[in-house]
Amino acid sequence: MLAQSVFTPEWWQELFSPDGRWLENSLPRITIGAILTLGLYSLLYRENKFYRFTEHVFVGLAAGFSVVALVKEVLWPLWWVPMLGVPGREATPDMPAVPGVEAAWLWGALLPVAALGFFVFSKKHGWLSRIPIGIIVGLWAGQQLNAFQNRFLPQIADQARPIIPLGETSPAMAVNNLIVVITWIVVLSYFVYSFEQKSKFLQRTSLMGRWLLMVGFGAIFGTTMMTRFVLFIDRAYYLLIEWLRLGERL
Amino acid sequence: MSQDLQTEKQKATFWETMHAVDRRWLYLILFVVVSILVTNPITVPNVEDPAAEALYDYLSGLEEGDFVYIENDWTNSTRGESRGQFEALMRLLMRKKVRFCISTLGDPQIPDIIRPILRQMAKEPGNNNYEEGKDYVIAGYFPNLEAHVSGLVNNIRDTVKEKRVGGRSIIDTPVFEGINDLSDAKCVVVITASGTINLWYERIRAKTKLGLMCTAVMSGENIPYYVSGQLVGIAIGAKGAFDFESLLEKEWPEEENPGYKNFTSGRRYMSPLFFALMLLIFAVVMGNVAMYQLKRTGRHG
Repeated sequence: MLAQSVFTPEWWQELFSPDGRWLENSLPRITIGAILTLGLYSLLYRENKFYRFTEHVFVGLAAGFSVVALVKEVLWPLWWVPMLGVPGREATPDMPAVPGVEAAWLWGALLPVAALGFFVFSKKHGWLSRIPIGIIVGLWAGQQLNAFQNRFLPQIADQARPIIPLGETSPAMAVNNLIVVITWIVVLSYFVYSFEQKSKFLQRTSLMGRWLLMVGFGAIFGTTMMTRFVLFIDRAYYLLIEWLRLGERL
Repeated sequence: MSQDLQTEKQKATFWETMHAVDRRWLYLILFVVVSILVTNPITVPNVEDPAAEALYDYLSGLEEGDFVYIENDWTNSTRGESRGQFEALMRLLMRKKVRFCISTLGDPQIPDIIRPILRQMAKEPGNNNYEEGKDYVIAGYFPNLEAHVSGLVNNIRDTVKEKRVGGRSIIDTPVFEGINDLSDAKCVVVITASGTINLWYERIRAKTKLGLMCTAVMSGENIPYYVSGQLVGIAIGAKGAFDFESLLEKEWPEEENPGYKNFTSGRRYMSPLFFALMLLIFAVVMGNVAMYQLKRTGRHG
């Protein structure tokens, strides 16, 4: 199978063809990705220089890409353009009119505040860097009460469930609800650290809570394995199908 | 007596080997199993998860011209799970002629990853030749998670107005016609491989419905939000993608709709995943039985 795909003249021709060499999903581009993938997976055999090289390439590329993306996606459209404004454009037969953006120079006032962050490198003036950090922390902290209310109160309210099979509550639903309520109580009892758990009853509920937590962690570990395996399967697909063309593409 | 001792010694040697097998052999077996099934996938049957079905049913019930806001927070690092989910969601929205805006909080690479995927998908039969700037917009990357989500909830137009497509602000495109507040959106769908969904739980203030497509590892902490009604539905991992694909197939069968593409990575990755998990279970069982046998014969440790 390998010989039928990789060693065909068409495969090699496509690899070295100058047409559309760097287009999305072009073979030269995929080949670079495949070599780097193999480099990273080579660690599974043992630590080696090829792995180190690919790791450094990855870190360097990610850092460089992030800088470009931050300028292009954040600083330019969200700060520079609003500050300097954009002239409007009249309608043409091909394009509709585009309204301009009025310059708002007040955005420039953010620059010195943000620049204070660089004082973190100075021993003498390091305290200045805490000003922008303080603004960010203050903004974040101010929202937390509301955030807690929106996120967790519905969760707590949801624990009040009917455990008696009456009306719309079927016996199966009542049993299910009972399991939820008992689990909730015994797991919470495990986290009672304010006083020593001398009561036999509390000790037992606490132990049960710990066991149920372990069941939960086991389930989470299972789903973790599912994610990791699917990521590996996708890499195998990339190497075998997209790169080596050993099967039908999606 | 001597023969019994010899047999016991041989048994112990086998279990010793099982207990101390070089993990690289396991990697090799895994690679072989996965390779066979990736190149020769087996079509497996599917029973849709009710939580994924709930999300699909809600979105499938939308009408032409409705608006959905999509928070798309995955990159190539979780492509195996997230891309299948993303593609299935896009197919559903395009076929229903639902307008959508996509932004990201996770990684600045994301707009460049999804743009070619969307262009390619728009050409598929049934996807109504969706065009950027007319049927959908990509609002791009926003760096401050808290500020961005709060901004969207408080004033969606003001938050995204600086992002442009074809020289004009995205809020001047037909996609944002009649959308003055997040409550005008029928739903926010978060496709994520990280904790960005938590910001939506905290800040959405019931302005609209919230749906989630997440990686399998995130399911444990997010299913309670579906049970409590904070999520309209949740699609989990590659299985969630497969669920969406199966439901697309039920609504638009490929046999009756020539050229339609319902199945992608969700179905394709199910059989390798099944056998990989079987291998894992086998290895864990063998390792534990080996440990037990070695302890029994006093050879462990």
